[in-house]
Amino acid sequence: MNYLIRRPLFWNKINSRYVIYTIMRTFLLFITIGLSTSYANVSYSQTKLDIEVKEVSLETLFQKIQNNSDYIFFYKDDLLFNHKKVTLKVREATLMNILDEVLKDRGLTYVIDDRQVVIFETSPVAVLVDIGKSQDFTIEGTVLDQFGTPLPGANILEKGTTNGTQTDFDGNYSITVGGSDATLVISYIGYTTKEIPVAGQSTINITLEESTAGLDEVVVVGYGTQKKSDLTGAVTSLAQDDLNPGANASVDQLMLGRAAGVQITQASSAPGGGLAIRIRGASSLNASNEPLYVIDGFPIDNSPNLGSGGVAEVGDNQSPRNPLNALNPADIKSIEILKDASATAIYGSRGANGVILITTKKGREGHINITYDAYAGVQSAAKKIDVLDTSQYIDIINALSVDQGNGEVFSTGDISAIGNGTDWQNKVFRSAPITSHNLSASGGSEKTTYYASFNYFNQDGIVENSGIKRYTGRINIDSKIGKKAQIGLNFNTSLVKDNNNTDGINTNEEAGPIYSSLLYDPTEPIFNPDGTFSQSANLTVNNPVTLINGISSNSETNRTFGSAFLNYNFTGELSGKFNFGTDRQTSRRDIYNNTQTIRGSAAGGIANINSLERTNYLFEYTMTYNKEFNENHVLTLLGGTTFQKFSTRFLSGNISGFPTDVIGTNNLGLGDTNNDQLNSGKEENTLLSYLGRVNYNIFDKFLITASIRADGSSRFGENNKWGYFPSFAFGWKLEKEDFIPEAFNQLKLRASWGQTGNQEIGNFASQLTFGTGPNVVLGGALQGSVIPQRIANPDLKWETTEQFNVGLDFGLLDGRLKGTLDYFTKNSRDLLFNLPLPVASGFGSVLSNVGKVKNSGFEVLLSSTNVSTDNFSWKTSLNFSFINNEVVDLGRIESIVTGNIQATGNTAIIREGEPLAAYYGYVVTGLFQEGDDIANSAQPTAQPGFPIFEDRNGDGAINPLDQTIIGSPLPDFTYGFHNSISWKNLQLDFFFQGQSGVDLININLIESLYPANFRRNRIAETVLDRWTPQNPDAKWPSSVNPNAYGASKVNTMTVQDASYLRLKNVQLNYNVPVDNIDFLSALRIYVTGQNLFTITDYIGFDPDANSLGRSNVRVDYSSYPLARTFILGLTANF
Amino acid sequence: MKYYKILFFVFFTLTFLACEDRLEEEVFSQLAPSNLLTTEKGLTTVLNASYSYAHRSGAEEVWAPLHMESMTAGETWGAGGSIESVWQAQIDFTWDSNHPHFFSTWRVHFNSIRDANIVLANLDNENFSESFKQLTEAEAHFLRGWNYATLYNWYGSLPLYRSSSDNPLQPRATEEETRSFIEQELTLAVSVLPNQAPAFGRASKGTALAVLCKYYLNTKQWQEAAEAAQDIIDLGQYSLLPSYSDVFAFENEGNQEIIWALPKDGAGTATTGQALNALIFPPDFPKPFLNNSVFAARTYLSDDFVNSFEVTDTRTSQIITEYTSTATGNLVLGLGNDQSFPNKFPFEPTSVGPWAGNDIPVIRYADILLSRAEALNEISGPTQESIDIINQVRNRAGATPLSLGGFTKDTLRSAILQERGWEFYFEAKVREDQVRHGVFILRAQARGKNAQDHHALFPIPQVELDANPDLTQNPGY
Repeated sequence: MNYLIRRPLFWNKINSRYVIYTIMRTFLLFITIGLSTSYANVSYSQTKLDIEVKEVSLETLFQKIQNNSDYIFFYKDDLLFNHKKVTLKVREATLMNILDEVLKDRGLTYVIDDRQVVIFETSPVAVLVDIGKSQDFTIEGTVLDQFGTPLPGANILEKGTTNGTQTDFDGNYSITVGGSDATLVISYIGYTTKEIPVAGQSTINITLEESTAGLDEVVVVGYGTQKKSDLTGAVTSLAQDDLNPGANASVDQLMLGRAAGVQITQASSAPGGGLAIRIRGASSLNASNEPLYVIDGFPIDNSPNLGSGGVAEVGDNQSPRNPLNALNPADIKSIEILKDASATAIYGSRGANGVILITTKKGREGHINITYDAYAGVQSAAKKIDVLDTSQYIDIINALSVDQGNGEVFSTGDISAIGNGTDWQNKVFRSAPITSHNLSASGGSEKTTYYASFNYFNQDGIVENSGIKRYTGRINIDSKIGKKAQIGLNFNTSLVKDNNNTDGINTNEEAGPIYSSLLYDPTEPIFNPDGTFSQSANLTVNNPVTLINGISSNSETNRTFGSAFLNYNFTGELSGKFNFGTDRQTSRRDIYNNTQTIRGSAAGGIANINSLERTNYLFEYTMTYNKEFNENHVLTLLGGTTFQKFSTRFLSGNISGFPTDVIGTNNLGLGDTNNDQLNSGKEENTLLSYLGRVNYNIFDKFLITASIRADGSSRFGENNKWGYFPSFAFGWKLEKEDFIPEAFNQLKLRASWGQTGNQEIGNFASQLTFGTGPNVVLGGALQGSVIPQRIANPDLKWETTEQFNVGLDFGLLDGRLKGTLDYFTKNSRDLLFNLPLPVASGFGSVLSNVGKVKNSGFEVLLSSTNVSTDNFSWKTSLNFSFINNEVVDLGRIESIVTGNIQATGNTAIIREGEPLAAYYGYVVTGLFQEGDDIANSAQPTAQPGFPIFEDRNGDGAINPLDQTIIGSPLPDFTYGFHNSISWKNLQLDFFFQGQSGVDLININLIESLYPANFRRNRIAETVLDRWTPQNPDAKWPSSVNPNAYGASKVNTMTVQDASYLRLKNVQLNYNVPVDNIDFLSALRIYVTGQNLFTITDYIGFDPDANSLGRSNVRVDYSSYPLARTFILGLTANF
Repeated sequence: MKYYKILFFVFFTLTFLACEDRLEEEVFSQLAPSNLLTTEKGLTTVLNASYSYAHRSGAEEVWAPLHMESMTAGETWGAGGSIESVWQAQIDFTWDSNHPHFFSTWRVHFNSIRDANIVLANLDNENFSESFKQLTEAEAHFLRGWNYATLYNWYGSLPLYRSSSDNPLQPRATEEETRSFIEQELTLAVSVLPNQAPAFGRASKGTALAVLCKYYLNTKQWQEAAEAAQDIIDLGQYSLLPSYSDVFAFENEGNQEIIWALPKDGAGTATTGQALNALIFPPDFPKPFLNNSVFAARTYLSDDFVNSFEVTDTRTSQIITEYTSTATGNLVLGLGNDQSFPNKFPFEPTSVGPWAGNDIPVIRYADILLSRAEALNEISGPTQESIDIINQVRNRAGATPLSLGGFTKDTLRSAILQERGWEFYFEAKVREDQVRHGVFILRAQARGKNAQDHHALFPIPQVELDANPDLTQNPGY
């Protein structure tokens, strides 16, 4: 059942136990913690009622009033017996008029508190009031939430008595208690109850904190909300306190490490860089593995934005900027992560990778509350890679040159001319500022509430010439129209300006500054004597400083999304909701590669403009039927239909040969029009769905949920447009059973089964179409061509994921120790797999429904209040998860090698029985030593100091058959560990996060072990501890003619353990006392540190990076370094 | 009850509105077969794609065949850049089925076959003119013949895709089937193609004859090779240019010595340009035009080869033995260090960075002449006709003419191989010539390489075997 059961709030005049009899008529979707709070007495008092009853009981009358208004009646169960029947006919009467009329002469009176009407006998009150008057100690104060917003209608109770009051519209209260040693109990729905000893104070201001712990917390689920205690699915609910503090450009960074079973990889640490999110593992081979994002009920398009490069002969960062950058993290109220099929199946074909529901803040009835939050900070590279410094470089190059049979490269004269040389990483990395200003206003009247915010966020990157600037605005409005209808609007608009970092997996002169800072000759100067940028004659890698200055890549993205709804209550039990949403974004990226770079110089400057428009709209109609047959049987039915259409258009132009660099991309026509390239495209796709769900609660003990969604997608083959995704779940509230010890205040067993789908493939994947082919030179002129894009597959259909989940939620010791355990198995079949074909057929693959992948795992979430005293508290929470991933079946093939990196080759394999995209290469068993019988080994041409590759099949030669799985890109185990300690006005939070049992291929290490050019710099360790006849126990091979080592660069030397433990963030808060400042209601000052340290054996900037972005294949290649950030901020409430 | 009526009305209205026709997928920016393949113009654009791949569109696709032929035969060696390990495997005979050059050459030629098959499958259309059908069909057959002949030379017998509707998982055809298919395709083309190609870069009768002639020669069908060569000579269209270096001059593209070339244009960068020089010359080489740029890798000729020419031989004009470094101003000596550069694709003024527009000559008239000389020698050599033909080539180069006296069939065979080495260095001929002459493995062994008999063919790319269980690898790999 989906309404809240409230406790009577007006305890001060009631001294007996009441049975609560209530039916709330507000439709479920509006009930969030903020909206479900109670309001000051005046709020509903103007509601006008038309009542016509004849000879009915008081009870019937009250029910009738409830059905026609928002009022809820509370009374003692025997109170209304033995009263004479009522006959009444009024129009446009207030409740007070009615009650005054019907209750007079019955010995009954009432108190109206917001929507709640308490009916009681007249007599006892006088007694209580008398007692209250007999002592005389009055306390006044204000009750605020943690952001300083006054809480109207909060309850203040004198402990151990029934004496109490409520705060008024401005959150103020005044209570007279039995003595100066009394204790006040302050409570408010959705907030943690506080007890405060009066201790003689006459003014007590109280700050309540939103309760994430409350067992009756309401969580957002697909197409609705649910009491947390009634959930049958695996849902992780993150409130603001559970999110990462500090400078976070996007919402997914807020969640990193915080939820069990949710692996979030900051694929690129560039400001606003993309993230990869895997909820319960990766199951899809070629379709997306990213979850569906639903913001305030509107499923958004989370397709990657424009890339950062890849054109204009500029490096392409494979991890495009995060599309969620359009959302201001400060607007987020809570995030729900739906993990099992019971929770996700209602999203059908988009649910297989999990669903992330984001709920933004709403206004609350009351005076306007203005919050201003500002922070500023500084970031620096958390780690630099230890490459050879200038003198080490000179020594090593000379030694290697001699070892390779040549003379020394640097003479004594050269060395003295070189001097200190250049530390290129120092020239590329910088200490970068970060600033954010966030202003929000919220409030509302009886009918309408609003929340509005504006955010300015400016983060410079720690790599020169990179950064993000963002402006976002949001308005959320909820309004009641008459008695039965509510409308609402959630509107978000943003402008994001990206200064793109152009690193990625490109090499040589197409690579970016990070790559070249690691490889560029440290003996080289930055500038020529004439002040121009110097360029090493020995290297076809750009001077890193040239790259920073010579290439610009800037994007601007305007994104506006929002939804509007109309909810109508047909009856008390039945409501319908119409929801319209749209998401429109336009992006434009300008790249200019000027004539200072190697490629730019040869081409006379290269300019590229790329623009992308992505839009989608949603029409949705849902209905909810909510029926409590009696207190033992509560049924909620949901049904609906939704239609969403997506479209994309793009236009790009590339040209080179400019007379000057001055114009940049502002006039492409100035380029040499013989060298221009134009491209454009347009695509649309459509989803049409029907959905239904049943929630059935029996005896408040057994919970049954069943749902089904039918999805039709334009993307699939003629023969398989429709897919059906059912789920079924069962919950058992064991704590209600007698055999469970009292110590458990919660113990719920859950089990669920269901099917979800995945449709995240490109458009037209089932059809044979022809697209642009390579140009051809015929008769001395360039001519175009067209080529077939694919083999048609009219049977193409959904990928289906079948998930079984069993979980246990428990709470012990009054909720001081709580936990959730989940075990799941997730079997994905009919995978959308680019089934390899021999390229001799003209097609590399055909997208087919082939193969099976299995993920299974165990997730644990524990939280505990270790210490809780008046002035000091210490809370700990811990999450960890084990996930086992296995490719079960690939159809007619056994394996496919993948993850090609230029000059390295394929790095990974998808093979039956192994984890998805496991690293695949050769095993190095040691190094050849002098005196070894090399001629009769499997590597007869090897030299001492060369790596020994394992001849796994024993055929006496090293060939591709000796390759094997040499590492897993998927961690066995991920964890997060959070502590929060508060003492008086101070609060300290720190959060550790990590993973173990995971590997990462380090292409920068490959560049050191197999340098593409002798004169490139190297990672120091690999040559300082290289094999020489004098250093036979070296860790690394000789580096003498490394390209003659044989086998492949993908081997156990270059695939490294990427386990790590990171102190992700630390935050110290101080709540400044503001009692004496009229215009401030709260002021908080905080200091935050992010990425303070990382413990790992991995040689690279970040063991968590992936230069291939969201790909299943994980590769570290010139990845953007992780920033260590310190910020100082303040939050003020007015 | 009226509420229920309203709500059901609303529900069904919406359901009805969201009708399933909306799931039809509309294609906006790609072409459907029904509107593309039914017009002459549309089909020609598919034929263009087949030509583009036949011209080895792409960067690696262009340079891979040169290195596969040249590095493996010891004609050139290379160092530097990320390509070094790729070359090292070719130089050291340690290549395996994962070597990237095999995949790129395999794919590009089979893509051309795919598109030629699409053209052939859609020619039966009453809207097309007879002349269009006839010419296009002949060109498609030529393209299949050229692609298969090329692949056969490297990989041996092949899976034959004769039609668009063939099962993608084809096993390898037998040696016999492969050969007869190549012969059939080229013979069909020869019989229909006009003497003049519709455009430079497309096939003519001479082109098809030249590819056929080389196929016959490499498969040691001497009589057929000699006859095909004579047919080309008889066309009267082709001749040797007076100057060897003019053959390779950028401004002489499409000269009458070029029978079949892969046309390139730097403006199309990696798609239609070629980056051969970028892998030959070092960054400090004085490039003649501002818009030339190079990669980190260098390709070198050995001193032995450079010194093997007669002093008067003008063919050394395309070898650069020294240069003045733009970085140091010092003279860098190539000769003496095994570091002379082949200069068959001189830096050209319209290049875009590393992407140059020099065409890649595949079959020159000189090749046809020497092929006829070799075939005649094998049939009944040594003969005066062979010697005369060889001397045409030598005279143009300023080399001393040969005379019949003193040659046996065997020594003339060796002399022809040597002559071909001088004439065609860095033109992707030397491995196939050495294989045909049976010296490819022996010479590698003499250079100290671990060369085995199976190295005479390259391995089928590993991913191809992974994707197609019906495919078998060449023995030895």
